Amino acid sequence: MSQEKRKHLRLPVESTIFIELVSPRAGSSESGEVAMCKTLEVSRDGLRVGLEREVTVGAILQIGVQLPESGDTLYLAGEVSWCRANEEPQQSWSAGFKLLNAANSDIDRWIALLAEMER
Amino acid sequence: MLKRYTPAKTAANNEQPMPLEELLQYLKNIDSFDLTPLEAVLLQTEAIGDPALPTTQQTAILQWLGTALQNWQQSFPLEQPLASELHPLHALAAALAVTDPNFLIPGAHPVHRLLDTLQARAIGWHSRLGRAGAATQQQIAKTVERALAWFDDTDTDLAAICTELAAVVQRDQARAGRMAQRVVEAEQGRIKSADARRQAAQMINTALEKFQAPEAIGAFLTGPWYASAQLVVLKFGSDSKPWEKMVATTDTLLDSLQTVEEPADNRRQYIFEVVTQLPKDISHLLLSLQHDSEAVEDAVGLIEFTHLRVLRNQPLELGQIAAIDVGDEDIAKGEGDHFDALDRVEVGQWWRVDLGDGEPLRLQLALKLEREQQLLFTNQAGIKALQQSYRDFAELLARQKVTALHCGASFSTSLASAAGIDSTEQLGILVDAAAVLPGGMAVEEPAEYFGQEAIDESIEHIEQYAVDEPVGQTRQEAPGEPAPVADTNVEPDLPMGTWLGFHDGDKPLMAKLAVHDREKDNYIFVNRKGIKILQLSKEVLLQMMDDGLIDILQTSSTFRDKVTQAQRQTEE
Repeated sequence: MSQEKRKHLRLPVESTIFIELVSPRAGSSESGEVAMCKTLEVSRDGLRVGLEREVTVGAILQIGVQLPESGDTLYLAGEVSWCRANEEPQQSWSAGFKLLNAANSDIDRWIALLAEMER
Repeated sequence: MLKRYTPAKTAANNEQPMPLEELLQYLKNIDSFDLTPLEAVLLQTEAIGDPALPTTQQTAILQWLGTALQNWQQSFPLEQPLASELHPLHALAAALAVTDPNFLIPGAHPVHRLLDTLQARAIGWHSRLGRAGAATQQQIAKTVERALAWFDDTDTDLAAICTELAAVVQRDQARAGRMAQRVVEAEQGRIKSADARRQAAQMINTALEKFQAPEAIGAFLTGPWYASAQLVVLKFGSDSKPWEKMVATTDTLLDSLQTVEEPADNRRQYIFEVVTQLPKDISHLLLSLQHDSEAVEDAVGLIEFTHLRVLRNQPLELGQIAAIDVGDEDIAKGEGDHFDALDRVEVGQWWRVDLGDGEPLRLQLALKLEREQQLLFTNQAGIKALQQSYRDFAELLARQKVTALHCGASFSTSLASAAGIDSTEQLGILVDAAAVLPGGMAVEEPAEYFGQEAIDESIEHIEQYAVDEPVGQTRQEAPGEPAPVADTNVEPDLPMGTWLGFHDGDKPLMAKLAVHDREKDNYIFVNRKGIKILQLSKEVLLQMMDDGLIDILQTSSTFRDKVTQAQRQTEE
């Protein structure tokens, strides 16, 4: 899809993000699995990220986006829209996340931030 | 009542009775509420040299009311500044006491009920509630203002104001009751979940102590099998057939992997039997993977592969598998001591608790955990505010740092009590003596005010009102009554990442709240890998919670902590 036809602008912003790939079992003291990776593009509705491992399309995962300048972290919920293998050895997979309008998340701050960046 | 409160000096013997309109004006102008209404009126008359005094009847009534108000404030205290906001209603009560005969029957007059309801509304308010308590303050201020309009317009419908307030209070308290119920369910779920975890671990650890196992089988047993064992305990209990089957299957699996000194043919026959039956049993009991058929196949495949090696006499690398560490950090253990003082501490009771860290708190006991010897308190909004051990609370009681608070027909009972109506015997004496005042002075009031009929009616009112459930208290469902419909205005207090146990179907299901979608107002639940397994509307979720089909197993998510930890490590 061309940039002009997209609902919201995609910005080539690279920031560190954390994705909870596997959460710990209820009540257990195990740590689960959290991946640290980089965003490749961001928009109000979603993220494109580079990952070292494949994620399941349709999975709803918790995401923490570390803002580059302030160091503040926004916590969001995202659904994996697609996941493809990369040729780059550093980032074996690329995945697209659709951000969800979730209560108790920082989605409002995220949208406000992106709106600011789009100006 | 008149006998009790008739003073020596009144308008009856100084012959300067105060006109009623003038008395009402004095009452309206009261600005010092440290005094009783009568004292405040006399202070004003003395200040301006007005020789008129209230009549004997008015004086007695105002004395009675003054005593009742003092009792009310002492026995049913509220926190400042809220308590002061109710003071202008003392003047209103006094004005109505001298103008409306119904006021003389405790519990009968709208103002009695209004004060009862206001006290019930404010019992949980304390200054540290901050914004959470602002609605109560506003509601009370608005109600007081509306009621005081009676001074300017005696047609003001006090009964309607009271009914309106009672409805709002009932709604708010019902909401708080539901919130508190969630807190209780979350705590009970946490304990239930911890118990299940402990029992499942104990069962598997016992088997692992008895048998060695290959590492992969050990990982299976301490992983998905352990999770499934917890679900079996949660759903069926540890004295159920499925649990017996789980224990037996664990033993059979481990036993089938051992090298035993037995005739080879017998052993092979046994393994063949096990190989046929075990995968079925394991698939059936692997509740934790029931939404992931691939994972079930992997687990069964691992066991089949291991058995194949046994049948081929290929050696298995058996080793001692490390026991599952459950710890017991998240469940406080009771010390088994008995605290007499706590025998009378009951769920639903309000307490004023001074923890020595600022203004006292007002808390309602939501849950008493006998085994863990813990008390869980919620605040006015139904939110968990304090958890204390029996020992700590008993100590606070002994140091008088906590006091029980009471509500219900607080003002009405204070009125009755001030009239000496503490028992039916006292009522009889009062009736006999009420007809004539000391010195042979005739009672000015119509006889029915203090006659047997009126007092009987009074008792009936008081009793009826006293047995009425406190406004807004959650009602136990009576047999045969339709189940209450979930209040959809309530937001389930479930943060992202909350683990819930669903047991509405044949098999229990454990799922994590991934998203509360604000647009569609639905709740999406996922498994550990984020795969969606359930989506419920708010109405259905609330109804299931009300029906007890959901256990809240864990309300906190560790994700944010892990992110913070990872960020710290990166910085370092």
